[in-house]
Amino acid sequence: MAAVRTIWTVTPEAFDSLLYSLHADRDHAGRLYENLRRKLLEFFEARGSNTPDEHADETFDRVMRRISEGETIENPAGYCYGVAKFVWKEASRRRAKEHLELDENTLLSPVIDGHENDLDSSRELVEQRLDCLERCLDHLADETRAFIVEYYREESGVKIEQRKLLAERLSTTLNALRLRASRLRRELGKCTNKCVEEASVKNNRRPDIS
Amino acid sequence: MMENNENGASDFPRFDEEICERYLFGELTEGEQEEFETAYFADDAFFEKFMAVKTELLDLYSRGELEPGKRARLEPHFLATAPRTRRLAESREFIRTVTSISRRGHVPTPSDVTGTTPSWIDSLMRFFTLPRLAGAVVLLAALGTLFLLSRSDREIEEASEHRPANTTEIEPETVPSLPNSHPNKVQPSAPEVTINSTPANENVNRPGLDRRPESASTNKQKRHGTRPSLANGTPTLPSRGNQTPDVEITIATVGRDPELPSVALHPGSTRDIGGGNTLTLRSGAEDGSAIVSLYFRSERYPRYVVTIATVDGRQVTKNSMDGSSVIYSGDGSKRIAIRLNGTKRLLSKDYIVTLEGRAANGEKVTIEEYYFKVKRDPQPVTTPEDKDP
Repeated sequence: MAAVRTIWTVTPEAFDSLLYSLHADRDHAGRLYENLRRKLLEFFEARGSNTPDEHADETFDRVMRRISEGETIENPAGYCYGVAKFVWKEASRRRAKEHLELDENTLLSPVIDGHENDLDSSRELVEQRLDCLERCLDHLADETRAFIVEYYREESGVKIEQRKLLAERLSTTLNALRLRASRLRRELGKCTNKCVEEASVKNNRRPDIS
Repeated sequence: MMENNENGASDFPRFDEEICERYLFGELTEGEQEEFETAYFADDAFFEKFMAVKTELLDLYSRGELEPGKRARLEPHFLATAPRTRRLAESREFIRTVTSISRRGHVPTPSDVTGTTPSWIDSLMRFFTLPRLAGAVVLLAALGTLFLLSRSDREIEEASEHRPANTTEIEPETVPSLPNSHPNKVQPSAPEVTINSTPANENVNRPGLDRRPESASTNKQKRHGTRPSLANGTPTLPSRGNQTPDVEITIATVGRDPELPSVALHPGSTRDIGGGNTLTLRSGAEDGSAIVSLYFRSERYPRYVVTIATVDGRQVTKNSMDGSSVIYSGDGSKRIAIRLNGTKRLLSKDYIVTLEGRAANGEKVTIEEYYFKVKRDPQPVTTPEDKDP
């Protein structure tokens, strides 16, 4: 189910205003924006959205519109959360009215389109992602790569026990280890997406970085 | 200014792993859910812990190591929607890749890496101290000049004669090939992985306006340069033999862009040229781009073909795209957003866009025809969608 977009065009000025409402320093604001977007994605994903990114953008659109209309927002994260709840409420209402076929369409991935070319192209994209992930791993510092490989690789035995041993060896707690692994995964995901995107541009293909 | 959301807020509930899991499994009451969400929106540290628990759950599920009870609670929620199913697939993919890398046998264990043994890059960097580097640059420049001078003028002429007009030489990529890589495909180099506590840029998934603050930063040129989601698409089919088409169509992953002229074409308003279906281009602007969104209702097709022609039937450009280019709207309509590159070559006149569906057996079906007018305006570009109703 796609988000119904507000009939209002996002302008660079409105985007700048949103960033400024997050922080006066643009770089800092950029990081806060990305973090806020991740939270919105999690929110919509947890609520069962099929298009969390669209809903997150719709939320930002509405917030930007409010700011450009002169609204002063003191707590942008809380404000965004409030708007996100409305966006989801509206989307749920629409979903209730939707035809079943549409839900099925939304859920279908291009892979199950049944077209051979689509299958080939999907397979190629999966391989591309794997290539990129390998490259990103290769670019990590030795110590970091060693950590992530040891933390995630498949080996005989129960992984959670091996992680406890790893935590002991590194003189840290399991929770700290988990946080570190989670952050690294995120950064690797970011690197992989960027790499796939660049490859798609070079191969003159629409990027599929989902 | 937002200052409360940097390192955590103290008046929110303590992070509780069990509540976190119940949230992920969709088991919290409305009130509990809201409390949990309020906490992670307000507190970055809380959110990071939540993400870590989620990553771990998906990881253990992918390995088949999640205890049966949790597995049964996770599945209904994570197999219900495409984004969450994708997360599971990504988790499996990640484990597979990491495992295959570890089997290459050159990954040291964390305790092996003490920093005492310099990597080859470190060694190289140490070798190339500034004076040595300057010397190497001078030497390379001298060798390059000698090489160029050694080529006769005739050879250079021959080389240019054999190169077709308007072609660009593609520099071979220097990225080393990997076992699974396609030999005929340009391999990207891996972007820098920055390991810090700053949040990830996951916005690259967003098919639309590039809202990445780093790309939207100070200069506009930079912003254009880092807007790959708008700049690429399926390869263009030449409309007249091998000649370059007048205008090129690629798939736009966004229906609107504040910096590009755009027009939305609906089936109901095709015959009446008016403000709603006028694409206003700035006169004298550099060779630019525009976005045209085509709305339609039809059954699904594996492929779609978009053709733009003048009213008198001259084909301006044409391209095909697969079914995944279609964006589904909540009201049941579908949309394909195309990007027209080279709009300088679009004259101020009326055009017809034909959208065709191609069935799996090759059968062609005309889904819709749209009319639109190109108007050149000396004033700064405004799009119809800029106006609020």
